[in-house]
Amino acid sequence: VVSPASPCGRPGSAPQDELRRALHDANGELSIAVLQLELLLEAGEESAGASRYDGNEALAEALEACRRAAASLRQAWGMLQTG
Amino acid sequence: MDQNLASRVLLVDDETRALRLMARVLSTAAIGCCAAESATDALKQLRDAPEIDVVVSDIYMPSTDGLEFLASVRREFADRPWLQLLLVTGQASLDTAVAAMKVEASDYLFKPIEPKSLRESVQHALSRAESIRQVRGAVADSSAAGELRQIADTARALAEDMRRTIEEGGPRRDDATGTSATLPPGKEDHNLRTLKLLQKLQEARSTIFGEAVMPEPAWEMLAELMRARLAGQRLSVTSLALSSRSPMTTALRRIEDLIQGGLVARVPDPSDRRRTYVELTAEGMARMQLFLEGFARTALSAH
Repeated sequence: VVSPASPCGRPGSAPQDELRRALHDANGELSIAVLQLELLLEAGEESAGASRYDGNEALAEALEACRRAAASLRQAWGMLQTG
Repeated sequence: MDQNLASRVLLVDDETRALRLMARVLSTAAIGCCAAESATDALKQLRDAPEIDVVVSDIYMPSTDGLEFLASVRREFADRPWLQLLLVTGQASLDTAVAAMKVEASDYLFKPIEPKSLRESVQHALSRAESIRQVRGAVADSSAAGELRQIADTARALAEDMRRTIEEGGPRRDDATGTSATLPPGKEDHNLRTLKLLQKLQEARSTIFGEAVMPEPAWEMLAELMRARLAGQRLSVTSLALSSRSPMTTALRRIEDLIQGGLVARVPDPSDRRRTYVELTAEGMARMQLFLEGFARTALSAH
């Protein structure tokens, strides 16, 4: 149960796995950013929702997730250039 | 996670931010959930909490093989057939689809997850789990004898209806060619009657099994398209999707599959460019006719 898997569920060569991992991480970070922003939008649509959802905190986390996604994409791009 | 709501959903992801956000999404739909950051923790929670009906798990986690985890859930909790597994994945691939089938997943969600899709999938999975629990409860409970009698009556009535339909309106066969003869004018198209009979059977199946036996959205939509065609009606994409009795996203995916398979086509409404109809292609129509006539013929020979 605890053995790691490649993102597509099928092990590949080490550089391929690294590349997949970087792309997977980028997607994961973007997913977090999207969820944060979607929730923020939903909270904005309900006036009562704004009080129970901290907009600034959500924006900051979404921004940070976007930064991480960008870093993962840069890493993947670097692998593609050197590979 | 939300302590005020009964936790029937277990979220599994090694990314705590993802767990927190998914829990928040579900809490807006009053769905209580608990969370696990590892397969080991998730299995422990499942052992301790039999009320958990749905497991939402990321497939790829750096320290955990999500698929192996879900397979072990199926193995260890084989006595909980109502457990619904939802996979979260970053990529739509054949591998993912095969993996989902192997662990009998209810659905899979692609990253980035839309809150609406997450809520709908989980709600749907919860309903299915509830239905399966109810069916099992009814069977196990001797007081359900009355309900079982009712089901038997429904089945008998259906059999009688089928016999009458076949006697009165079944296809007439041309003995030389084995093909259906043309129906006399004014007589209801036997294809339509067969289709209605199939729909009755489907309704009976739903009554008896509830959501424990899922509707087959592609088939439901093909049947609805055939019914509309025979009744001279046109169907919009939305009304067709609704007829599938499945979540809208699933229905739309199946419509795309049917289009890709050449059975269904989009037809723009010339009077309103914003609206698009869907209808059976010639190929789709021919196959449905073949199926319906084959079904009626088989039923006829059974009597």
